Amino acid sequence: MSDDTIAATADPFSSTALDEETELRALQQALQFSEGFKLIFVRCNQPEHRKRLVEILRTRLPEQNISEVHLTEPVTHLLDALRERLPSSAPDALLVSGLEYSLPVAAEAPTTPFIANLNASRNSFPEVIPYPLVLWIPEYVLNAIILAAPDFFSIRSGVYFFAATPGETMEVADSLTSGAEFTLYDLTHAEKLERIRAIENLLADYEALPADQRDLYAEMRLHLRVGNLLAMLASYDAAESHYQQILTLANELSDRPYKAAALISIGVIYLDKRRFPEAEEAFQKSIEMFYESNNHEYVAYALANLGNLYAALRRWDDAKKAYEQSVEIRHKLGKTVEEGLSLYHLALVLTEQGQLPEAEEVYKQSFDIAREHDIYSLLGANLHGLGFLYKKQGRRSEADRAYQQALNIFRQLDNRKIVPKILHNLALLRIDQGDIESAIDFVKQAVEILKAVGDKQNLAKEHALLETLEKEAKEGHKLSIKQ
Amino acid sequence: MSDALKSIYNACDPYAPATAEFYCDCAIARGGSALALEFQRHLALANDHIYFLFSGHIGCGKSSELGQLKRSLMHAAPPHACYFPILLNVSDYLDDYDATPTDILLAIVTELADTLRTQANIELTDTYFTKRLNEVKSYFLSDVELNEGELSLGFAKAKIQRLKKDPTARHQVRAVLEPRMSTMLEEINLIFDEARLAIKTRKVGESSRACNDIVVIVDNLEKIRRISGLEEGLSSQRELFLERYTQLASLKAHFIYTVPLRLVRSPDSPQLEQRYGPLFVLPMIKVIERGTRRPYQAGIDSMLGLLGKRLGGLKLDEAFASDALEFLLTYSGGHVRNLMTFVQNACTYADNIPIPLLAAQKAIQQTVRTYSTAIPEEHWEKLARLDRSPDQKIPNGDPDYLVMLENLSVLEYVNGGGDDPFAVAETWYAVNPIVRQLQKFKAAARKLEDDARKPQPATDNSPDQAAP
Repeated sequence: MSDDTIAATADPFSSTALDEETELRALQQALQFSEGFKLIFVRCNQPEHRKRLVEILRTRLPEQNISEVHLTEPVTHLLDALRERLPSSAPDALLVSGLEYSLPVAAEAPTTPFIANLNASRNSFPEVIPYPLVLWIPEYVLNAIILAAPDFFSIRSGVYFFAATPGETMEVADSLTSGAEFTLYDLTHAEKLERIRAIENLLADYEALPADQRDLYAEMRLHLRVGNLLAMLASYDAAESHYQQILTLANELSDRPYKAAALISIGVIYLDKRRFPEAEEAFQKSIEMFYESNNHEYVAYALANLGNLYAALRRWDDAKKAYEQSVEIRHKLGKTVEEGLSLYHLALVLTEQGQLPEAEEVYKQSFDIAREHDIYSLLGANLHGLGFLYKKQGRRSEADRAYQQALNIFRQLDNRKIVPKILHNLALLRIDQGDIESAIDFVKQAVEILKAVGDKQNLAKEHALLETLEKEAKEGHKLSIKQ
Repeated sequence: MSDALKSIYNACDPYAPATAEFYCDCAIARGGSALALEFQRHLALANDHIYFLFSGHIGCGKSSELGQLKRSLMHAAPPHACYFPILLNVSDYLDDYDATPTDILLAIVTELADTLRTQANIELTDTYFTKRLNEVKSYFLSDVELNEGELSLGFAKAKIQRLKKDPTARHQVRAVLEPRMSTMLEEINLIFDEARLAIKTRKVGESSRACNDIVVIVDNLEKIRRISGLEEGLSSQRELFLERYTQLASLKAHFIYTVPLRLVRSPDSPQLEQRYGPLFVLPMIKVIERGTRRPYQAGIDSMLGLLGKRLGGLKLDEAFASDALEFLLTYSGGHVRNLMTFVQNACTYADNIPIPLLAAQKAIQQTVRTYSTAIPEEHWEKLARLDRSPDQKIPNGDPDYLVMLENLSVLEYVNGGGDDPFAVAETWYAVNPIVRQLQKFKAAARKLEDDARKPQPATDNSPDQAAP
């Protein structure tokens, strides 16, 4: 062991995890010492790791009657949930895990009733649980408790900290980040949340490793994956912070591909936030960097995003050009699925430009690719686009069928961003057909979803539409609804 | 397993406020006078009932001080008069996230009746509340209990506490009581009058003399986070302590209310003082000097005294190696509950007494790890700014600093004051000594220092400047 390592482990202010044996012995001692209620936290991110540690504890404390409660569903009130699950005779200690089910993504954790109730019920814990209570929680839950339930946290008797070993984390990292980025779109909302939690936990473990054992490439990979997932759920600030961390790490490692990848991703966030000039700069810069490093796959990716930017600015000719270039590169590289995605975007632009027969042709090419590769989200997107196109052409029954098919697909994927849009379009189509009642029904469904996801802007729009429609239904006025 | 370590571990429970046996007057080391003394001074000078606000960091010793106040009021030696204390822990009655002033009044009157009955053998002749309770009792009593006949106020405590966990019943009870708020206030005051007469005319409870008046100590009121129908946090706390001042201050007895530090240090502070008079904030025990950060011996001695009382027969130097003890005290920042937590943690990392430095360091490391990931990124620069500031003050009302006070990354201290009539008590703030040692803090501090050295351009071409 070098002198440097000795100095590092002796630094009491280093945030690196202590070795597992030291922490385990201390936790074991805490359980042996505790008389009456004591609140003990164990920060442990991986369920498999927790199981292994609990097993060791049980073996080492054979004289103790240790009870375990593993929550497998969200609860709003921990104490009440435990009350229902307590063993009939008092154990020597109660280990509780599964609290992460009660919390959404880390950023939202502090505002949940679950956290609020911890503070509020602080004084009731000792009455209900007159023995040590050990909460096994991942890092983000611990942080949420520290920030949002400071009263509860302040009565702790200890926070024992376990980080998975590099071997354990590598294995999980591979299973979490394998597969094309594209397949993430096909995860349901809940699956995305689940995945975000898992990756954030894993990242925390990586970051807690001693400096000489850290794997910065794995960290960048995880940041990118979790950032992309967060962006898909419209948690843009959280996503951006992950991308910024990649930039920092990539600069440290002088790694141009990762730097360019982070730049594209940051550009995408800017695009979503409608900060167009910054987004354009980020995309152009990353295209340049990828060309230099001969990475055409990513050039195409950046071009596709540049196309999105121009489309948002309604610069249709520029958008068309960017998408066409991206289609061409992806086709040459044999990146068929990605080519399908660019084709879909190209078709959207062609529709906007009024080149409807060409657009239909391109949609169908993209649709075929999606069907061949079982990419449901792309399939749904093409059907939605086709529905819109058919409606423009006055092919109402085809439009209706395409919309309904798209709706089914996105409902199955629980995609709460697109489903309200399809419902809105279906409502407009029904208004065209003079069927106000079913239009009202679609708008109401959209309202429910928008309410649930808290999209206030679109909710206001749908409310306004609903009001006009209901008035129409009641009074029989001629509608003046913008299509 | 060491029995000595086990007994230290259990004696230093951060959950339990100090009992009479463990209480230690640290007033001088906190830079002020003890709550009990200060409150008794106010009582002696007051012509009318006083409504006294009391605040402090989570875990700084508020409940211990209130417990001590209760004991001093009851056992006051002449020339101080005796007072009959009612210690109400509102957490036993109220849901912190859904409370109303009516709930608080109901808790006060219930605790009053219960304390008088159990500690002074006084049965109130109240009919008003008994009548009201019997109107609403079907919402929170079981069928069997309903058949038991009339529910009288003096025996209602445990049953009324059920409302805390039963939102439906709570809302039903409120619907009945809220329209009668002003009558309720008048009726409570009648009860106070009746009770006052009783305690003035005979010796009650543990007191050796007849009592002068009643003091209601409302503890944990600062933990109320949401007043029903309002937003959680500061706006609810403003509503309770400022907008509802007339209700809190119309009760005819002396009152002490605990108020959140966040509100006391917000821009609403002058308004609070205007209404209630001077606020009493319990600061940290000063273990370092302001500015120089040199050890402050009186503070260290207080912390040692406080810890010593918890060790039973063990002497401090038997329990701790001297460097370990110094380390724990320094990094507690003078925060009593932190010290208790650190000692407990250190016990679990030690094999035997005296607890060695390495175990103390590992104990502190738990907090190092929690702070290094839990402090929001945007706080680091502000923490570094406070640390560099020559006056060690926080900008008035900055919400980030209010959060830092709450999560103890910033600690509040007082200089001067106390029994010296010429000294002016002055509040100052310091970054938690553990937080000061973290890499992210050091990086932020370095950055501030570098920025301070950079030349400042004479003109500002930023877009803000160009905006109309």
